[in-house]
Amino acid sequence: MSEVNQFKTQAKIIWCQGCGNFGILTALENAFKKLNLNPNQVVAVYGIGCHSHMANYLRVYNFEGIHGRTLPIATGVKIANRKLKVISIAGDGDQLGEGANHLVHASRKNPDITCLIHNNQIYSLTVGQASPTSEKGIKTKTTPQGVVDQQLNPLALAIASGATFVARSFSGDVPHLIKILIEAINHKGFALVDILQPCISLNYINTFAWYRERIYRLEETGYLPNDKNLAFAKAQEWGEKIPTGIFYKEERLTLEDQFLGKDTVLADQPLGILVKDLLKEFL
Amino acid sequence: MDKNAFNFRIAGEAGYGIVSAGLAFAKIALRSGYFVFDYSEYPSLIRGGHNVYSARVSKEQVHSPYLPIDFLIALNQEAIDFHKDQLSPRAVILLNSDKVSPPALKKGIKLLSAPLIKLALDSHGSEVMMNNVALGITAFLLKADFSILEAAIKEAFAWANSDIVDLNIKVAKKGFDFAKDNLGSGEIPFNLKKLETKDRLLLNGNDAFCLGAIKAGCKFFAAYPMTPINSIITYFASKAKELGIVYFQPEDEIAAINSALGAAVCGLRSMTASSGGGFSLMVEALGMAGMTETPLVIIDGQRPGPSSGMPTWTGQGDLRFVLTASQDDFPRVILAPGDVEECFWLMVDAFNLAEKYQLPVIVLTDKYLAESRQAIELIDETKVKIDRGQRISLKDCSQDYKRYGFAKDGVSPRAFIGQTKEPFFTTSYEHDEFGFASEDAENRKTMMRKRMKKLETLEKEMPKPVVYGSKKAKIGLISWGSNKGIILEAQKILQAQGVETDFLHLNFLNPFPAKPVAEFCRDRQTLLIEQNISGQLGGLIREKTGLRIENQFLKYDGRPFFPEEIAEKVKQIL
Repeated sequence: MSEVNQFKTQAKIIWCQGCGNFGILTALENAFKKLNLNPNQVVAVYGIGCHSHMANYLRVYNFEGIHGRTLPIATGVKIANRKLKVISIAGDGDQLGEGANHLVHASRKNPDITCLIHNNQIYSLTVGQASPTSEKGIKTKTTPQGVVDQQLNPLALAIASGATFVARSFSGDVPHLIKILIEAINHKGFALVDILQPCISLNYINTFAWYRERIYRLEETGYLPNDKNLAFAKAQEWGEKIPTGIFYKEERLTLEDQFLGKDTVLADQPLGILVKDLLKEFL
Repeated sequence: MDKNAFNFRIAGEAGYGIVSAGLAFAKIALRSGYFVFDYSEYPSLIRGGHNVYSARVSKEQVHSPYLPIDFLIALNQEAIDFHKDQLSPRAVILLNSDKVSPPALKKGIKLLSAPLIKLALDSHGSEVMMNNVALGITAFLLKADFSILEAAIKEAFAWANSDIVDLNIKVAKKGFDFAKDNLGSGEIPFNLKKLETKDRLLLNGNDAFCLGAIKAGCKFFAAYPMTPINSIITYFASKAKELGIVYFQPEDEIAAINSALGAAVCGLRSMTASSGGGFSLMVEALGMAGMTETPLVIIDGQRPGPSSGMPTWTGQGDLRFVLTASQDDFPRVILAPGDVEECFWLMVDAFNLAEKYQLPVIVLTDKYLAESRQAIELIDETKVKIDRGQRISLKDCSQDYKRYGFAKDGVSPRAFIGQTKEPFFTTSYEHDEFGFASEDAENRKTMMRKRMKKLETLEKEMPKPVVYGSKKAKIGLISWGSNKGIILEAQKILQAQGVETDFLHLNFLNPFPAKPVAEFCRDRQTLLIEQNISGQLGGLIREKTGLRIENQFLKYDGRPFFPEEIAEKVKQIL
């Protein structure tokens, strides 16, 4: 039996008291437990940002990489050892700024990876610059006159790019987040989970209270996540009402299934190989 | 020297099958028992522009292309205009009389003409098949077996249906018969008469890299297309299913190197490749390979820069760049094979060193080495040794496993993600022995020293660079990478003229073999030969040994050195 404590390290947690990241950490530990996973069956790949401190707190194989590049690293891990559950963990600046191109391509390639965006709509580790998901007009250190760019919509981007599982949850609603994470990890294919995660130190607008007033659950409205056009339209909803839950889901062959025989684990293959026959075409 | 040795060239417009005619010619020479070295020049275009294929043929090993042309096939007017001044005194020209008017030539040069397009059309072929007509004529004139040409055509059209194959053979036969009936008189001073020899291989640098990497156990290759490494991609992609390995086409070079690192931490022998531009995009992740101590092999196929530069031409301008790319210091190995055989064997070394010392290994090649084919003796794969370095096995990996333990020699035993009882941590931040992020000053110092110590340990097993040539040398030549074969041929030319030289060839550039280099250069006349404007190796020698090499022969026009040029330069100095 898997236990929540199995997934904790001894490291002292240095996030701000009340940070939205606590909810995500707790939800992940609980999702792993409910999925009956052992710490050595999970690889978490992080970018760089407040989110990536989690690499010191979550006891699984952690690979804390470089900003924006979680998805290529995670894809390499998954192709190498498909037995592992691979989770990519990045912030909104990380995944949607430097990492946006990788998000587009991972969505269309469909490796079996769960991609979490800790979306606090601001660069927090570097103390308060506008991020791709900052709302238009908001004043930040880099936008003293207010954000001029259009807010990027990660759900719509993933749906348009061909992601096979697209969901949103809220770090202030841990039971819902656990449920969504379990669905996402169980989904065989590329699963994007946009997690609304208030930054209590730097974002005074999109607070826990602000979200609680606006959030509603799609599954409670009879919404079915099987229509791409409907999902795309639903993904545009933002403002007075903010939907959470699974927006879109489909089954499609994964990247690694197209490369390798069904049960072949590349990392288990021996290195030795004869090139005698390969030389023939050069004679 | 072999008196029958000769230099073949076919030139014309891109799209006229010069590349495939070249390969067929090289196969005829190889399978007739000759050594061959070929070299192609082409602009960065699919059609139009001027394409040139050259091949040096001899009974003895050939290490480089030569300048003077002995046998020229001119498919269009430019082919005559551009090359007529490079003809040797005994040259033979086969001229496409449908496109080219006969030029005024020096006495002694033999001019043959044939209506190549008309002959192709007469046998119900098309204009683009003029290359096969020319090959048929060549086979007759050089007394080669037509059956060898026939086999080469079949291989070139392996993708096509039998009608297309038969038509191309028919067109070549038409050329062969035309030559018999019309061009039979008069002796040609060289030939391709069949010799009895052992089987040999015809490989270019990229082919040899592929075979070396696959033999070394490379299971994951991620690379974004870029000249001149594209044929490595094509080869891996075509063999992946059959060999149970993966070629992954990423969205960019950043994804290439990061995915390769993801595969490597799971225990795969992993590789990426690009040219300087793509390597530039990889640089941040290169540092991550250094920090996380992840083994990785990176091929940099150099071409003239900066920026897009001259994509289909050659150069050696990336040496200083790859030595220092990415922020702060971390250990890396830089290798630069000199010829196709070294491409194979150093690729095996690259994977062994990467894993044994847990660091990135950058292998420098260039357009010239990547795409020039050389005939070599068969590779004995039983001599390949795989060394994966110190590892921790599944059952030994306990909860207090120190992934980055402070080992005396710098090498902490490695475990693979997904293969241990307990998980462990990998991070691009400075970290403690367990892999937890740490900013502690003492830990930082010890960890930096531990990582850098790996190079010192590695240096002890590094082979000494090879010196080629005479003990009575009047001048020492020093160079690196793909200039090796060209300098070996220059030494032959000089020796025939009574000038003795020796030549220090460097293929390990980091760690740098400072002691043997200093011993070679000290208190004597030396000449530095490299393909960049600033003498990058010269600068490195000065940095590592304090010695300044006075004489420099630097070329940076996108063309490789030719042996005649080097011989001339040496004579100027002496």
